[in-house]
Amino acid sequence: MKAALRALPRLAAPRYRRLRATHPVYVLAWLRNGVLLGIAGAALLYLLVAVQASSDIATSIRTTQAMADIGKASAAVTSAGIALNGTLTTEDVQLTGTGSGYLDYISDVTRDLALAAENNGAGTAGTVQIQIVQGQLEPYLQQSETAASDAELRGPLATAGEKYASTGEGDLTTALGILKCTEQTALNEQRDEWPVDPAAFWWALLGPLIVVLILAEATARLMARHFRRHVSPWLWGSLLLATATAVTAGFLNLDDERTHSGDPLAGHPVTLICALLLFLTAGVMAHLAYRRRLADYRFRSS
Amino acid sequence: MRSRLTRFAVALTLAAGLCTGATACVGGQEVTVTIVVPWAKPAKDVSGLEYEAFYHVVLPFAQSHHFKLDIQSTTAVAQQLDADAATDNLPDLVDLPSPGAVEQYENKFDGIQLKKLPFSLSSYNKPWSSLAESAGTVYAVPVKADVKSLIWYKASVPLSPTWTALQKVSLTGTPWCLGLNNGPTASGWPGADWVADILLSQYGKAAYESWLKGAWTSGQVGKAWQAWGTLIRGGDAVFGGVLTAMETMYNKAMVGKGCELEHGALSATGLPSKFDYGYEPFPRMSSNPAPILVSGDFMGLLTDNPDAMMLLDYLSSTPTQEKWVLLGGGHAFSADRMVMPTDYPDAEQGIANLLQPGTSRTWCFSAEDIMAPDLSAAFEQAVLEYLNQPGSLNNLLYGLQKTATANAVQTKGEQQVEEKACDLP
Repeated sequence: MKAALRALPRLAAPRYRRLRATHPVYVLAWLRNGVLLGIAGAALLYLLVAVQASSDIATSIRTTQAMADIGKASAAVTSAGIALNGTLTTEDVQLTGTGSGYLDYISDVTRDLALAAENNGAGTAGTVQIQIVQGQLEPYLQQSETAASDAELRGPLATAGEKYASTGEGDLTTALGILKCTEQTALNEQRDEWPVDPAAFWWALLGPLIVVLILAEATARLMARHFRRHVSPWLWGSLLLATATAVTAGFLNLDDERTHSGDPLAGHPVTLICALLLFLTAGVMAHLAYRRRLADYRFRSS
Repeated sequence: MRSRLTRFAVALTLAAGLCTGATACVGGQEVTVTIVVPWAKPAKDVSGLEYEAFYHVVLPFAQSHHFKLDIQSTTAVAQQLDADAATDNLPDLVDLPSPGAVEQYENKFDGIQLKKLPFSLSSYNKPWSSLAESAGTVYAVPVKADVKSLIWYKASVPLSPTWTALQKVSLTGTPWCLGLNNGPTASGWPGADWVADILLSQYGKAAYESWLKGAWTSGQVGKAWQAWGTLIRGGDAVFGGVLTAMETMYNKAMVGKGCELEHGALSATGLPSKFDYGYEPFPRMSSNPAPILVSGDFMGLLTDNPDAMMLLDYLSSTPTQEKWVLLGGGHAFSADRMVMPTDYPDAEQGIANLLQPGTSRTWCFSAEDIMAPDLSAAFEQAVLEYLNQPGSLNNLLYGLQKTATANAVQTKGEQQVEEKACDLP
């Protein structure tokens, strides 16, 4: 390792000498290519951030909805238990069975679970947990019906039957609680994805433009030193336009992230088209900024 | 120009290579083996020792073979499988505590079918090995075994191991500990084991097999129920009475309670590993030695996941079985005859001796585990109803007979598992 480090200056020296000997117009062409690549990179990263953020926000909205559905299902299970207890203790179960209140709540549970499955944002882990909830629902329903028929018999089994059903209710509520936690974990992960994380997406949007700024500064120095000219205002205009576009896109994305909008602004088709056109304009401006000087020095292709 | 093209091609190849490598790495981490087990996870009021023991057996294997484990715990295994099958997302492995369920899933049932396994169960004792096979094909591995024909007593109150002595002890007070609660599924099963043990002890293997084939209304079956009812004085000899028994969890009936005697397997008693309790095999009630009522867990494969197959192979091996039984808190026993009683913790060696060939007592698999799930559930409910109202016994037996007949019609008489229930070691 040490030997390699010692050899580095020796290996780099010829390359540096070659660079120093290169005609400034070649360096200018490289700088132009770098600036154009930087602007293209900024446009592509904006596209990636906007599309991915829209998708992540949509997923997290679905996950939030799934969590709300699970909460409703859990509340309906508790209400079903209360309704069942009421029926078993106060009504003639031979006539009412488990009771209409209980059945209504159970139909709510089934509906809310189906909605939660539709909006599941936790992938396979969520699907597995939903299956576990459904696996707990079936014995709870069976035991509730058994509790109703046990209540007809009277005696200790009527009381114990209620307890078995109540244990089933507890198991079901626990399974729903675990499902909600699974969805919450997925939601936290979705909210930490880089396209919706300000610390990450600002770097993605502005990083390429910082490189463009450095290249523009290098261009200005090269022009002043070797060509005794000021850099074209088109270049600064191009940089300003690209930066303004990226910053606007960034703020739109920030707003989308904060409001969790179902219709994100940064990824809206109109915004996408406008921003890409502005980046394209910035690219054209950068090209024009270098064009005249490069046209003065046309060498034959070797 | 050519050099530019070459550089571009090299860069593209490198990028493609990096992407492929990254995908392979990510893909490698995703391999998961999903297992459904009936053992409760440790929680506030649940020791979860059986689950913990299983976890400690499988975890090192999963880590050394670089796959993840997703162990799902449920007491309602059949219902869980139904829900999984409905979404076409079956677990890779399932632990079935009932040979009746193994037989049910050997052929496609409700979209669930056990895979054929290329294993040999030659080192496993019958009836466990024969119950895991059908026509020479292995469908499951009997990963755990247990002995149910045990009467537990407080060491401070020694027990005379005869039926007459048990009857005498039961005449006064509340000596019996009984917990029938198993939550929303299978509550009542400890009573079902009582009836099975009495029938076996009083009338032997032939009567037991005949009962398993559907003879619910035979006089012998009725007498076995009545013998249990008389022993516990219709619930008066049970600590706390019938309601307490119905409300007490099956594994919380004895420890810290004011009763001295309990019937059942060690894992079902909830006794700690180092216990102040003794046990005796279930006493003979006729001139013949009483057969031993046993049970087991059968692990089957439901998918083509090769890691799951490897894990099952690992679980079936003698060294793994030895490791499992040594984790004393789990109260695991093995049907593998190569696992010696000396491989067990001290407290469990005596019970392990009962699982060794040469005990001269027939092993019979627990009746309610052998029965088809519907009939088994009806049997357990009947136990609760019998204790609730002992006078209803005849009606209950006729109801069970009806269920058994309907079940036989459903399976078109193809159910053979009852014929393999008993075997001489």
